[in-house]
Amino acid sequence: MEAKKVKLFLAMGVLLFSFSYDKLLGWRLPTHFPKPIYNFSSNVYSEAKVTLGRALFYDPILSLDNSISCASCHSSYNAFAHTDHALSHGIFDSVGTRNAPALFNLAWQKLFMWDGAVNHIDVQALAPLTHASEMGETLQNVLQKLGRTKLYPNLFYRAFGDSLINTERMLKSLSQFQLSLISAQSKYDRVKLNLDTFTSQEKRGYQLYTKYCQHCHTEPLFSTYQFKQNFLPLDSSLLDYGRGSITHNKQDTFTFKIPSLRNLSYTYPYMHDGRFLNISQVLTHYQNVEMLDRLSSTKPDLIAFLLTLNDSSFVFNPQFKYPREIFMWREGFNK
Amino acid sequence: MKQVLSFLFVLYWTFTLAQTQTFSIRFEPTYAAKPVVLNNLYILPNGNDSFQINLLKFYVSNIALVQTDSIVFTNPNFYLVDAQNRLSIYFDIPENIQFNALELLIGIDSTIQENSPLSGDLDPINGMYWTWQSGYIHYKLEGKCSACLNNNKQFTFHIGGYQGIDATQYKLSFNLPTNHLSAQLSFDVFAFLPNMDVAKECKLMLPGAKAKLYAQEIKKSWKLKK
Repeated sequence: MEAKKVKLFLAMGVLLFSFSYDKLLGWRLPTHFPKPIYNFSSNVYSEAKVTLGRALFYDPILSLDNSISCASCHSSYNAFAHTDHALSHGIFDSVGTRNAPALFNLAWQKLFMWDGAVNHIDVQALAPLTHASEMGETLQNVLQKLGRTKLYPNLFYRAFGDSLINTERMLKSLSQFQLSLISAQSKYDRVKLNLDTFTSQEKRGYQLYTKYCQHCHTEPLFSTYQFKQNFLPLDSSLLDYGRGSITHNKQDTFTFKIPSLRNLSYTYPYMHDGRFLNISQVLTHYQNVEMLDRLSSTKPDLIAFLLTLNDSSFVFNPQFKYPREIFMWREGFNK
Repeated sequence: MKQVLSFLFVLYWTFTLAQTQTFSIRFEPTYAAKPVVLNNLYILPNGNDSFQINLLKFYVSNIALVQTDSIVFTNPNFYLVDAQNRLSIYFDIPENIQFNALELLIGIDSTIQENSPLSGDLDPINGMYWTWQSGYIHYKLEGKCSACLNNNKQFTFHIGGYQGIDATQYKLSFNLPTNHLSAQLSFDVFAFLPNMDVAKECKLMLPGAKAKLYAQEIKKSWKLKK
């Protein structure tokens, strides 16, 4: 009887949880999240646009030699980061100067890239698309290549009502897929929605987080997405001065975009240049710069809490992975 | 009742729209007080080196007509002016307005820079958008100069940057004869020449102090031709 009750309770919990989204112009807003920054009235959300954006995201046609897609450095199984790679890779075996950041909860972010060089998600894709060490393409050439396929005029037609392929449509569809990447179903989220409870160690970790981390990595997104000094010594081979190189303000030198603490288990290595291989190294760094206490229990307790921010339902969501069904359809048509 | 009202509204709207007239602005790029012709050879002030301009493009936006300090008409469009094929712009204004001044912005302001429609004249495909650091290039001047020390003797001046201390978009105002329907505006394409060492500085492709200085020099050179 008890077991049945528990099962019923759990089933109700799952049911309740699966409904904890508000609709916002067709887009799903988690109820415990703030209002998004992205203006959906300028890019009305639709499944057809998300599908087009997903195809573009996974298609190496966006690169000069058709070898690199967005997903090459932003893998769904790594919360759209590039596990095991400190610096991003590009065409002709080139290597960039920064760690590919994880992609989720992008609708709450105003500036993009580690230095905030990109001012809107709709124009973000232009940066890797045209960068010589990433995809090395031109906008003109990409649009022409898309127009020559059988697949894309069809997907643009489904998304926009006619098959015209242009900059705005391509970029806004890429945005739509990326805006659909919402991570809001970790254990932490279940606890916030009273569907789960923290263990005593996780509770202690949460208290440490509140004391030391929450100022920059603020709930529930676990980042303010502002730019802060991370007190890492300058890598003399990369000479990365962070946001200061963009704004030319002295106080922005060596500041970088604060990453979210969600999904850390999937997104190593860490920091803007991927110099730390695991969370323990990151915490040691913050202990060394006296932003975290040195008690022996601090690291294990804090890590226990950070693990509650992993969202496996996001990472393994079949709607976000390689769209085999779309590309199979293309191969059938192109023969 | 509602239908009648909306019919009357449409009728009123059509009539007011119908009563329009066309305003035109002609841009005249100059060098040494003479109109610039693309690909013609010009001599630098040093008397030794020659140069030619192959490309000149810039944005014009926030156009407004003003009657003694109050705006009576605003034009929401953006215009990519191109010395190759578009040095004049035309737009309709209502017939019933009084104005004695013209205002415009050279470049694109921060609101649009951060929420661009990405289409028409603002399509990044026009080659006026920086992809590595978001923002439209306000003013683009390219060509060849014998003084340039690089291999192909090319100069590239991309003047941009829209926020904070790096903002290089600027507003211009000109007094017009009352209700005059056209304006011819000239400016010196190379107004920043006295502030630079041509041989060493043939390239500018990022926001910053230099872009700001160049933009300010060009701004000072704008004139309304009578």
